[in-house]
Amino acid sequence: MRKSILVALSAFTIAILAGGCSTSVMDIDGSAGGAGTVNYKNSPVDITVLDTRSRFVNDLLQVNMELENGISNTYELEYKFSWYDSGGMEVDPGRSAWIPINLKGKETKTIQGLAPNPSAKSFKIKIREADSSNSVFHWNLKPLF
Amino acid sequence: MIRNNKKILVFVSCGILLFFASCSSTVKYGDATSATPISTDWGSNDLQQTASTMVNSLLTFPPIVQETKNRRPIIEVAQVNNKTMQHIDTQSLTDAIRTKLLRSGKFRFTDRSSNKSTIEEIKAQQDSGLSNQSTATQFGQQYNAEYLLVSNLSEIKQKNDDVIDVYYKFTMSLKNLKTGILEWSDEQEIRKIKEY
Repeated sequence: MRKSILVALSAFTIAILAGGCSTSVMDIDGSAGGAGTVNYKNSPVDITVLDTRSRFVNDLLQVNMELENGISNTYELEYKFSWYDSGGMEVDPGRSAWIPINLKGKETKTIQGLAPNPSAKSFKIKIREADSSNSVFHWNLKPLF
Repeated sequence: MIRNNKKILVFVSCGILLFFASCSSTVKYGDATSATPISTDWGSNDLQQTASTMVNSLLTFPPIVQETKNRRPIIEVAQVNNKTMQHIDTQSLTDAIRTKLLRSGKFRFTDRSSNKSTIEEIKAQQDSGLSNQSTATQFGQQYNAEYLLVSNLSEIKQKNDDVIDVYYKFTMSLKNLKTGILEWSDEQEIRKIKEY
């Protein structure tokens, strides 16, 4: 009886220690010069950029990007836009928030961003897996790049 | 048998010690734009998402694009009507929206919340006898807002033994103060789920 309690305690301790270490974040970068097409790098996350469009609305650069989940599992992702002026300087650096997006198996979704002011002439989009440290699935993912 | 038990006891004790050592408090800077939710309560990323969605919607709405093409209309922001059961600093939400709209260069704002200190300053300029009266600001010169930004935040909470499901809805409208017409309106929906 006493032994089984000790074994249970050991298992509990190991589980806690292992769980505390299981954080894993991955990134997919996307970038574009001007208002043209997006060049994105392949990553272990099977997300495909189907279409990218950009235009100026009210002098503000607006970007539309269509993403497709290539696998049948759900991806919990986050994305954020960065904006750059004609000289390549980032506009309002560090201000845009990570936006969560869930892509179900084989699902297609559109993300959209609007530049914070008219000085933004180009953009960059960063996509990463949401941090879900309790997920065992993350242990199987390879580090990016 | 007793020897074995001792070994296990030592192992468990070391493990527990290691665990508590790893729990010792540390302070570090976090990512202010992180989207990782900690609870189903209204959080910083909900605020940032909502502010971003509202600003993007307002700035790209065709009649507003037309209205802001050659001039910068003046807006006053009304306090958010918080219909949730939570204590939420809704002013930080409207402040975020106001800041983003201001920085877009498309709108100007009046700020009634700072009127008290404005009156004190103008009175001091006029009455203290310290400053040159030719440069003193006169009362009754300020511009009035043409539009009012009004908003509501509501929540619907459902829970059972396994799940807490909270649905937030933020609705914002731009009201033309002269005509009383709502020129623009949009909603942001956020759903947060906690599973045990």
